[in-house]
Amino acid sequence: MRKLAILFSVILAGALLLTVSPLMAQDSSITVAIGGDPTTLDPQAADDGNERAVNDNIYETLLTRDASMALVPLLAESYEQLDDTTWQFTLKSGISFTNGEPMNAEAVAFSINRNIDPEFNSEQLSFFETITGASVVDELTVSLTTNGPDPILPARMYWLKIVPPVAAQAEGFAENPVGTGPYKFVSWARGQQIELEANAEYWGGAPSISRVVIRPIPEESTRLAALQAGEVDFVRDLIPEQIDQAPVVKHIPGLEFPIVRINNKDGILADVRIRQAINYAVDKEAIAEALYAGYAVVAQGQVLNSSHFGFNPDVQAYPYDPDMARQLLAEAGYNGEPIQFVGEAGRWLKDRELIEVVAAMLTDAGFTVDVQILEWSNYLDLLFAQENQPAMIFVAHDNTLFDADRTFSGYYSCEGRVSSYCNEEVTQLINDGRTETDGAVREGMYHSVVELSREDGAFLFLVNLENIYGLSERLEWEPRQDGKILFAQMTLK
Amino acid sequence: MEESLAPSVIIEPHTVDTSEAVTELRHPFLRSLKELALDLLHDWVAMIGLIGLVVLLVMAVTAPHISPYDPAKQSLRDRFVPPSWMEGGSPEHFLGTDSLGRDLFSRLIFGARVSLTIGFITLAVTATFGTFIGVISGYYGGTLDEILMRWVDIQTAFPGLLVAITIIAMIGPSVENLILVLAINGWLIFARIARGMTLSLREQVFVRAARVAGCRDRRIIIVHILPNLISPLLTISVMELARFILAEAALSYLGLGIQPPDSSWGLILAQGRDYLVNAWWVVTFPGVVIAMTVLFINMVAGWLRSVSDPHQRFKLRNS
Repeated sequence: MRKLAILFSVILAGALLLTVSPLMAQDSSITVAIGGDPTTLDPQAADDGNERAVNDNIYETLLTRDASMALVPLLAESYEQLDDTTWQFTLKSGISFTNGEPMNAEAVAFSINRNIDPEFNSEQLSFFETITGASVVDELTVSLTTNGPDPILPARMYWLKIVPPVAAQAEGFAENPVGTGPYKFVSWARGQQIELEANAEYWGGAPSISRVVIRPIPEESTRLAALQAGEVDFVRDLIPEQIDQAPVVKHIPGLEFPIVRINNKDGILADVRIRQAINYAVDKEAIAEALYAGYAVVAQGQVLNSSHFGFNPDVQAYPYDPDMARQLLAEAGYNGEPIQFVGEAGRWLKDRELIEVVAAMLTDAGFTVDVQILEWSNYLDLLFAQENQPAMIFVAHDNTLFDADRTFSGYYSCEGRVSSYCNEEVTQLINDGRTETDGAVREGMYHSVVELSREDGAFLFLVNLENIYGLSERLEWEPRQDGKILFAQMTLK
Repeated sequence: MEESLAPSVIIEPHTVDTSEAVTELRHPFLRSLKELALDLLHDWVAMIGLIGLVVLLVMAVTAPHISPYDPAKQSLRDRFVPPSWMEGGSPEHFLGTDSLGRDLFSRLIFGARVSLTIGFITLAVTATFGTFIGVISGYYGGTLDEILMRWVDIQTAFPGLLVAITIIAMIGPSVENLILVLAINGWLIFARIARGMTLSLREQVFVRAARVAGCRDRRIIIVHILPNLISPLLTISVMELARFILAEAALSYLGLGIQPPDSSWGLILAQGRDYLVNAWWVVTFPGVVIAMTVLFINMVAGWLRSVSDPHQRFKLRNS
């Protein structure tokens, strides 16, 4: 009887497969719209969201994050910290790149050393500042050294993509990505489309969607129109106003924080009362509710949200209190001296509008604001300037390492690459925190950093944006908090 | 357009048949003004254009008095209020509000100042300079022509936006610098056309006759060549003016032009583009005023062209 049942089910399954498979082959192809053409497809060269949208599906990292954003091994089998500055990663065996190169200790050490090589001059260097090198221990073991204790090294390994040594040294690697991931690169017609196909030999099992076409569509309304017309199945970065027009919308609290950096080193903004007045003068609620149509939440006096290690739940946003702002301005003896406010347009969601809103609110509270919307490259010069920094500059930060150290060492520290805020006490805490291996102590230090910098008006804290995606009716997918778009997690209905 | 009126007035006695000039003994300037006015009355298309232009200019000049709101006054809770005649519209905002709840009508009135100022000043600068270089180059020819035209070639070879970004990066964004950048990019076409026309005019019988009669170069250029350039140059001017208004928008949008809280028609349009699907008015109305401006100028220019061209005017008079 059991034999008969098995036979019967085999025949049934075969029949089903026969009838269904041609349909599936035809239909399991999707088109995805992203915001622009990647600058390169070398996974280690650029810090470019469009490049990541493609390469996150081709390449893999030693560690990854699951749906709840907890770090879990991917290419690594396990890892341990040997001493303060040495880490050892054991790799999964039997994985190879789609060009046949083995994914082994040699490939991992090569990838790490390539990405931190000063001559390679990667835009991602700030993610890996603490790493000094990697070496092969045996076929599947890699050891990694840092320039001091680095508690967030595992988080960095969620960012560093592993490349095949032979292909990476060959000519044209930046146009022909080869990884270990669930998708294989097929073709790239610059400015038009990138085509990927499922990696049938993927070690984690072949993905359900067999072919993905990625099209760069820079304009939001054009992306939406393409989605409505059924030309694409997936678009990222919808603007909140368009949401009711998309067939299916998915949104999730994101990592992006638009902020205004305040230069406390010289000029009138050296006075803490004026910096606090700036924070009191801006109605963050209105920005989140009206400008971002509710798809943003007010930042709680820090450039972190609850998913980040170091987030201080006891610290709250400055309330909107223009009278308080005026009072503080009067106490500080502010007499309408113009305050430079630098921004840009077109890079981040509603950036120009946000700048105009902030400027108008500050003006209402009695500030004289000199707004300068600059062209992107001029803006970048000022953003990275270490001398003659602008009084206020708009920027959006997203901490994808999920550890406050990335935000703090970049923006809160006197020595930060993109910092115009300097407070010795805060900087000391940040430096101590980076080398503190006891998690609880480190978290305590970060809570103090948040508390001190909030009182000190280190930034104009604004809002935390949500990621908004538009999907076609037939596509199923759940967004991730880290903003990664993994086609292997998509299915068709 | 006042600039272009001047030369046509000066040349009147030389290009019109002399019988009229003899019978009417009043000052030639007044006489020609009266003629122009008469022509205008008969040409209702030009009349509409002129009235439209005057309305726009008055609007720009009196902006602070006629605008119902402060154009920079935001109200985030009143974003995208539709125009007053639509469902959900409010009588307080005739043309509705934009993405920051600012009154669109007030912004268009104030935007007229920036757009028209930049458009007309840039046009005046480019047309004057370009024509001057073109005429000199075409009239004298030889090495001077070679040098000037290679200058034009070299400048044409650089992408306009790149030049604009470089210059603005050095001198900073402002209205004056924006005009400068647009002018640097805009005079080339005037120079090319003026040179081409001058080259052929130079060999015409009436120019040679003038030379034989002992006219100096300056007089030949001003009296015999320039009037014949007005017609084609006016045609280009109209197209260029529209281009300047839109180029200003593009540069401002990139952060190379006017800065908030100021705005212009083009910039309002560019900023509304993202919301075309759910707030058509923010894009449509600035688009309409830009189109109307260009149309009005075109109507007036058509008439100016015909009165500045002796052949056409002769036909008009005798029809």
